[in-house]
Amino acid sequence: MLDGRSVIHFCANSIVSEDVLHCLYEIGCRIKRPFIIHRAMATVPSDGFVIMIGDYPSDWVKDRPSINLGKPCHELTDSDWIENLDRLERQHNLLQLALMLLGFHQEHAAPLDSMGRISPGGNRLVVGDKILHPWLELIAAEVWARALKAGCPDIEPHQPWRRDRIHLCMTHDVDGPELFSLFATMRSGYLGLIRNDKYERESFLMSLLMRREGAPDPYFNFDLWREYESILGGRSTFFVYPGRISSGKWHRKDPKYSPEGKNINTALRRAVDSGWEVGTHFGICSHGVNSYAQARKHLNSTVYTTVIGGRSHYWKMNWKNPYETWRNMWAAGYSYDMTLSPMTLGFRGGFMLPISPAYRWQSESSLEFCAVPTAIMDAYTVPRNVHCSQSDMDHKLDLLLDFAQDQGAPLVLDWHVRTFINRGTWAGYLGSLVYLLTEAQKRGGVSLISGEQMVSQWREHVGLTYKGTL
Amino acid sequence: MRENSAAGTHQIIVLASSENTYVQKVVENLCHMGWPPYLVFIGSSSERHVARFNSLLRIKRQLGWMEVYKRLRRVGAMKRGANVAYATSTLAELSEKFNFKIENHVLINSGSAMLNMMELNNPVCVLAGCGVVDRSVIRSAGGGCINGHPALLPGLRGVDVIPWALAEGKSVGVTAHKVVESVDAGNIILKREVQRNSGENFIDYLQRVECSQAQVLADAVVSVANGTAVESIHDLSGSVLKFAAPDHVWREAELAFYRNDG
Repeated sequence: MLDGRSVIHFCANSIVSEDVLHCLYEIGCRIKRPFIIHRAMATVPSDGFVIMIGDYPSDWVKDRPSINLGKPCHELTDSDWIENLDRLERQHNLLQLALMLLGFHQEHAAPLDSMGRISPGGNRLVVGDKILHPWLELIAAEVWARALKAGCPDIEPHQPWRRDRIHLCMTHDVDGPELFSLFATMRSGYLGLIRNDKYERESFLMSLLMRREGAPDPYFNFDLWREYESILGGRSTFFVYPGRISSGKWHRKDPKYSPEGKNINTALRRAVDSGWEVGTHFGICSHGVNSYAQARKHLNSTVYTTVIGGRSHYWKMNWKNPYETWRNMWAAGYSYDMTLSPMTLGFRGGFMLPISPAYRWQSESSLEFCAVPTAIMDAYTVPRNVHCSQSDMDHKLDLLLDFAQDQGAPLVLDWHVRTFINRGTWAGYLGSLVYLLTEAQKRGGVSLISGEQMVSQWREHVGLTYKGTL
Repeated sequence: MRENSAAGTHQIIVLASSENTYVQKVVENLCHMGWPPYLVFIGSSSERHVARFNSLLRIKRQLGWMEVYKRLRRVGAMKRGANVAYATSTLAELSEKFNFKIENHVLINSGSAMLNMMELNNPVCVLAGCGVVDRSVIRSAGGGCINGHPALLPGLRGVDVIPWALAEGKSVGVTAHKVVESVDAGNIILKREVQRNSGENFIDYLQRVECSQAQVLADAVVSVANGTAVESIHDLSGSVLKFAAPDHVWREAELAFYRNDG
């Protein structure tokens, strides 16, 4: 039985909006101490420290150790991170800011591109590199700092990940894993010879010369990635396209392989047998509960695994309402999704830790579905792709590592399987990964984890801290 | 002779796009100095062809197709024009005698080359003719990445630096330096001027510069491996980046070379 002082009490007196309660839940998870959410003040114990939102009778508040999240940010004058907010944002209070982030308000006004996505320029957080900051985590830290100042007992936090090292969640989207395929060779030939792309030209040459030499396909790097990660003492997740499924629609930019293909199937089964994870790389137009479920079932039977996670090809989801996508994935049996990316470096929703979207539609027992932001994808770190100097790029990566260290939170990386060749089209793709790893090593050490491991560790943390909604 | 995989010493690995006299000389020098490499990576024929193609394309882009033709003609003439033959052992012979491994890599700068380096304990990586290396290779060489450059640094960085130096009336020499992400910009470990011998022809002189470069590189590598290297900061304000030299620069260089002989 927890006593009132070893738990933080969030109170949203008579505010029935699930958005608000979800917000308090996510803040509570990030404060990393045991917490309970109260829908009404009547259930709050008299000796508990309360973090309140809304209005309360003065005699209830009087002499009760508490803070109210209603103060606008511009009045929080002793917090450095507030400086990075713009004038409009500073009019809001901490809860309102958190609500905006979890509601993806920073993208609401943005138009969709031809693939139904929002370009980085459409996300207000991209301005001034605010997209590189974990705002929700900073808000939670601010809330906790204010609570301590107001007399909250300094409860020992639960750390989901060791604080003496940087944690990197390593994932690999499996797109075009074979250069020797006719499509890949012709594509590189066209782009290299007709469109004069020197990197594609080298890939085209590589395809012709290496095939003649009898060398292995330079893009088929499943085993090499596993060897690399084994040396680093970790594991990773391969997000695999399930092939064309009857309940989905094919898009011309969908991957051209299927997991039944002999080489790929063997490589994936070997990976699974060695402890690596396989997840679903959803087709661009294959969404909805049926498509997600069919994809999962197909991969389960083809690769002899139990798929629990997914990521959409080309980051395709319902960008205007991600919660709808996540609800469908949850209904199809998935435990996590890593599609959340702003299509550039950083945190699309302004948070770096997983969120539990299921809070908005289900009881506590199913708060197992996590939406996990992907912070760094290989192509976004290569200066020639993003028109940025190497030193500016390194500076952004350093900032992300700094936050990973400060928050004790993993960064989710996405390095495509084919990029291990580091030549041709993918020249330089490994450089940033090695930079991240060596810089993380300098910060005390690096731990590589798979998507499944990250989510499992987060859920354990939530299980230890979240004590329910009354 | 030092054990090439003795515990506690830096392991030396040599990277080269192909087996040629330069890498043979570098490896031979290391072996004779008692520091045989642990591993020599040689690129495949695909790597060779890709590198050659990229080099010619670079010349074409910078100088045009006629210069590509002239370059090919000059390379052929230089192969035929040498009077002095430097005898070297093949890598296979050296490997047998000094007990190091040779591994063929389909492509230098690939992840698999980096993987091999990671399995070693802070290797010193010697670049013996492999083009520009990627930062993944540089960062994976825990003991440092060292290159030989046929010019005195600070001075001329980039390619074709010998004809550029001669044509501009500068001294010719060789430098061994630490490799950083910017071309030929790392700290300087060792350098040596190479003066012409009386009566020496231009092609033989170029060969001798290459020999000297191989020796200076080996000397520098050994000093890094045994911890005695003294690096000097490379002040880039004193260096200029050079690109492919047009044929007329080569001709001016040759004229200047013979003119200086009186």
